[in-house]
Amino acid sequence: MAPFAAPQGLSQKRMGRYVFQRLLGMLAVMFVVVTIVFIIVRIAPGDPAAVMLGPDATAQDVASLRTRLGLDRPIIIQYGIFFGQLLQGDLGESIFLNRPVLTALAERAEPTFFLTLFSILIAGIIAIPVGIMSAYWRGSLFDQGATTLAMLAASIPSFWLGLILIQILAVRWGVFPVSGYGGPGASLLTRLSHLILPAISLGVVSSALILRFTRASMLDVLNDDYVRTARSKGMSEFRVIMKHAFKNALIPVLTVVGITAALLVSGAVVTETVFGLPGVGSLVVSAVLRRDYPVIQGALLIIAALYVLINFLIDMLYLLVDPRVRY
Amino acid sequence: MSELPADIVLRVDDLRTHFEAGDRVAKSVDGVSFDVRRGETVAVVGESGSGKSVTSLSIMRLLSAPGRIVGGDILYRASDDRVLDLAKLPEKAMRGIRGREIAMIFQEPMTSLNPLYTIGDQIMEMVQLHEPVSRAEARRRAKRMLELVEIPAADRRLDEYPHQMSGGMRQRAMIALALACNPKLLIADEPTTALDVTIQAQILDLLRRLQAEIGMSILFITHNLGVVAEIAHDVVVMYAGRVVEKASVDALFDNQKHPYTRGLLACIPNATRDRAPTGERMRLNPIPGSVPSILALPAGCSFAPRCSLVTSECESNPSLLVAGPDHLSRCWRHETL
Repeated sequence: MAPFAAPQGLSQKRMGRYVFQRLLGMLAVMFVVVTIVFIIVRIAPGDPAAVMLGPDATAQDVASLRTRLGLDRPIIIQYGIFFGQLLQGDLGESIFLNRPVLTALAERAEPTFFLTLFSILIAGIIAIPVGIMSAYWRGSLFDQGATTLAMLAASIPSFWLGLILIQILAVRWGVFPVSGYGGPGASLLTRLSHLILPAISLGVVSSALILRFTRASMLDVLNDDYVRTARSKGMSEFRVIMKHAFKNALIPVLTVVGITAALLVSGAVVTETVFGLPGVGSLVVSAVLRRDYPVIQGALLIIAALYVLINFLIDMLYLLVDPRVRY
Repeated sequence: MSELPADIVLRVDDLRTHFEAGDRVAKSVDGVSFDVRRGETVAVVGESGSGKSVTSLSIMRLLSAPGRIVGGDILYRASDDRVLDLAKLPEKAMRGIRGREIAMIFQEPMTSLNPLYTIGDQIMEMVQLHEPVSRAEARRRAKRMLELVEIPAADRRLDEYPHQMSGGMRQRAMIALALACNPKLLIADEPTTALDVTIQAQILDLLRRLQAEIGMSILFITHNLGVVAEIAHDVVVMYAGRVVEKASVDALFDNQKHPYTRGLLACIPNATRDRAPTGERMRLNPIPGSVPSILALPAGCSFAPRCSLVTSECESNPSLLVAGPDHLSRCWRHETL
């Protein structure tokens, strides 16, 4: 334990170093991801050129496509070219969509982005307060009910919940649109209203994990000495729980919210298909079915980059919440 | 109820606190009574499981479930001279007592402060909970409190987090926090147990000096009779949820009237006493056996199974017997001691 505290300037320097280390780590992870994505696509069975051209193509057609795609060059050269293009933001050209992969992905980004955002908000809004109350009233009827429901929610596949929601809320009661994204030229409000049901079906399922973590983390801190100190100061129970206990319980909860958000991006693949949303998920599904390698490759990279970015953001949140990280 | 003598700040009268789990009842505090006078220190002494901490948590009404006060009174004379029974006070009124009238410090300075807030924030929160002052004024008060507990460079320390301080500094900060609203009674639950001996002495000095300056009363919970000699005016010795001996500190150290207290004193290692004439070191003198489970107390005197003076009389439990002026003992044989 340092007898004297670090002066303000020094602690800011340490904070800067923490951010810098996380940034470096993020770049290292991305480099590895790019390499793995490159290798996976190259070792996938079958000659991409042959697959793309179909069974009726002549050997000459295949050979010329191979040259055009650069597949006849040594693997290390291919890697260099791939990497060089990537650094320029070039993810290649889609084989079927007649446009750059990046453009194709960007066109589909909006529904996926908002779907993920809404799902995580719904999950957090349900799971965090319920988790806190569950821990506070541990063993009560409320706790037992919440834990059981959470287990139920965790075991429901989100696409199934989606289908049920469509059946009841959209088809029978007509409260929400059944599927799609409002068609061309739809207003933002219309577009977003198409996201409510899918966001609920994804959010409810992922709330289970967040709830369990919140409950466990709260149980850990509720018996801590500083919580007793807070009570001995004469403040209300609500303030003890929220200001003193929950903030300490927040750190593991942040981690799991981050992981859940990242999982949602990939979980969106199925849900988008169920709800007919024109998002990145459904783009990937159709690309896989058509062997549109550049699109698959690009989407993998974007999803991985999102994962890494979310983790970085969580690390930065730690910095805000926990002073022990700062010094 | 208001017949509390004017010099008494706190009167615990036949307090009973039980922990009930199913049909099993742990009588952690079983009929405890004592007085705390204005400006004086009462030490409650006992081993772990004797009920001393449960007594202090009962007074603060900070028992965790399934602990419950099932009987007795906790009479407290508030600053406005009203006498309140804390055992029956509604929770909302109790919040006005905690921190403002009765404050508490704890055993573990490393974990008793919230790691996510600065020392200043934690003291200011206490002030602002009980008094309608601005942030700036609360900060001035917090700084004054740190100076009062002799933390150097108080202004800078206000903005530090607990993990940047040593154990002794944190316990000082904790005392500053507890005294921020000028309470009439400070409950100190083993405040020096987790500290080095030299730091222990500093904290005891500090508490004594603050008591002289501010005039608060202290209820000091400890298992260490050495500390008791340093700080207490009156001593309450607890065993298995009951008071077994009660006396002024001088009377108690002069002449212990209960074999348990005698055993506790003999437990304190003493470098000169514990040497044989040959200079050879002698063995420590622990009390044989251990505290009985509160769920399975022996019939009769609960100390009897560990007592060397036991007779057939001890099969029935004595009440507190007068063993001298202001000296009570729960032992049939106190006269032979």
